[in-house]
Amino acid sequence: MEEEVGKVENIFTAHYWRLPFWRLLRPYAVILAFIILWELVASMGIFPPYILPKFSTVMKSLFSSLYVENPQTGFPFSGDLIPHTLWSIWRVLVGWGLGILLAVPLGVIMGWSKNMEAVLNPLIEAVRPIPPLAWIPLAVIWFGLGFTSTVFIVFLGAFFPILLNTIHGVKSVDKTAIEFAQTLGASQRQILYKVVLPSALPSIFTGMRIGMGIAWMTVVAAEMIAAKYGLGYMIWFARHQFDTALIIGGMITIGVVSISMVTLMMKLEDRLFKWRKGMVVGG
Amino acid sequence: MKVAIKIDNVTKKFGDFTCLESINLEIFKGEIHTLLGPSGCGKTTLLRMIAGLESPTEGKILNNTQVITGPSASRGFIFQHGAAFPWRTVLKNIEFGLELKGIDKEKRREICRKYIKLVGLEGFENYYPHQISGGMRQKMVLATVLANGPEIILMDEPFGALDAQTRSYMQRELLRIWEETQKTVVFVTHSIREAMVISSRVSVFGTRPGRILHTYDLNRRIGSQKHRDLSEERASRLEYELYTKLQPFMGHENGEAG
Repeated sequence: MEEEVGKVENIFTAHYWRLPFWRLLRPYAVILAFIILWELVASMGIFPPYILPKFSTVMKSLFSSLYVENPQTGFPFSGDLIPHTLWSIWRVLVGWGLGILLAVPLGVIMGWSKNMEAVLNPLIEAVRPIPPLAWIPLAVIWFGLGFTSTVFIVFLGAFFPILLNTIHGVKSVDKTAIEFAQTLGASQRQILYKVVLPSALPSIFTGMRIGMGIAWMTVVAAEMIAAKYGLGYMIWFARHQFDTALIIGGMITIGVVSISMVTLMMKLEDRLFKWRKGMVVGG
Repeated sequence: MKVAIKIDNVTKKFGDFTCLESINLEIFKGEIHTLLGPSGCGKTTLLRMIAGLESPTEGKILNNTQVITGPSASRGFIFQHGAAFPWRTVLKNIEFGLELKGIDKEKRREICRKYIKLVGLEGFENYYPHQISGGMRQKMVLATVLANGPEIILMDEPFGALDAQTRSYMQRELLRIWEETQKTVVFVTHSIREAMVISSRVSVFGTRPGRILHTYDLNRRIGSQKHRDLSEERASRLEYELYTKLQPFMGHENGEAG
């Protein structure tokens, strides 16, 4: 129980806000209320179902595309939520992975050498403001419809946040730590591997996490135009059928999968970078 | 007396600013030599030049008979705010230098255990630097440097950021460890009292340009560190002498004689 000295009991400070039940419920309360409101409004029949399907209809549609093999509606709608989801995840992972493979070494070089930064920065800064989605037409001409194009777009989306955070991480390495390593006999190579990289790693991971979020944003758009599978394709195709429930169901799936992957990254960061937090013990 | 470091007519300029002018000094093997002076007198710059982190504009610095051209594991450096590697535990910090040399894990652990014991950090091996206090962190850094087996230890106001009690405790600890290891120590401080507690000899610096005003042999004047009593009259006399020597260079700064 929290300290209550000098506090007047009113509707905001009342004891029931501190009950364990409420504390458990707290993070989900607004979402729950929203869903209930949605269900009620949709049930009142003000809007036709193709404008606003009920939440329960959306869920049913999602589950039926999970389990039910329905030969009448054809490939994208029946029992294919998982393949579509897996395709999107796979594209995100490949594009994002390529982004890491290229952006991290480049970022280390640019953060480490002022010279290289001065040489490469103009090109980077010229390309960076172009939204990844603006590359789609070019990607389709270069790589055709399908996997390569979408991965290319995802790569572009993930690349820049990883690059910028890597550069920032390498640049903010404590200069004294580098000098300390030198006086302990470290070579340039050892300084890179044993001081610069470990110290820049949290920042690199932050870039990777932001890149992951952007990868999800870009993959959906890219799949709408340049692919035959994937969640983006699924909801775009559902639009032709006015299957609003599946569109919304697909959107929810995208949200849930992308937030799960980003959360996984955050948990990993907390685990790997314990050394950033901590309290003082002893004197 | 064997000479560990010979500073031969060294001048250091940053652009037009003359930081240090014509420094000549010999640091003896096994002594604690303190560079004492107000801020801006170039004492830290001189220490960094001995480390090889900066190079003299004129003159040269010799370690034994070799001209110093860059940093080396034989000259350990302890920074004012205790540079360390925060992503490594205390043990892994202390191992750092040995790891660089490619010494295998068993041997590393064995050496580290000895120095962890020497500085009194047993039980804290698996803590991260952020989890221990400032004084313990400086002990960890000292152990890191000692485990690396340097010939000379350069200390740049290593206790400056600590509170008064911890500071005087660390001074006693330094003396104890120094007696055990017999290392040559070059120590930078602006505190007269600290210089008098720990030094074998003290070089007093003046400013604009930074230069050595006088080098005092404390062992001769007030006895060796172990048997030194700063309440004796000869100690008070020396303290007053150091104070008057430094006084013209204190400027607006509080010289912190305590």
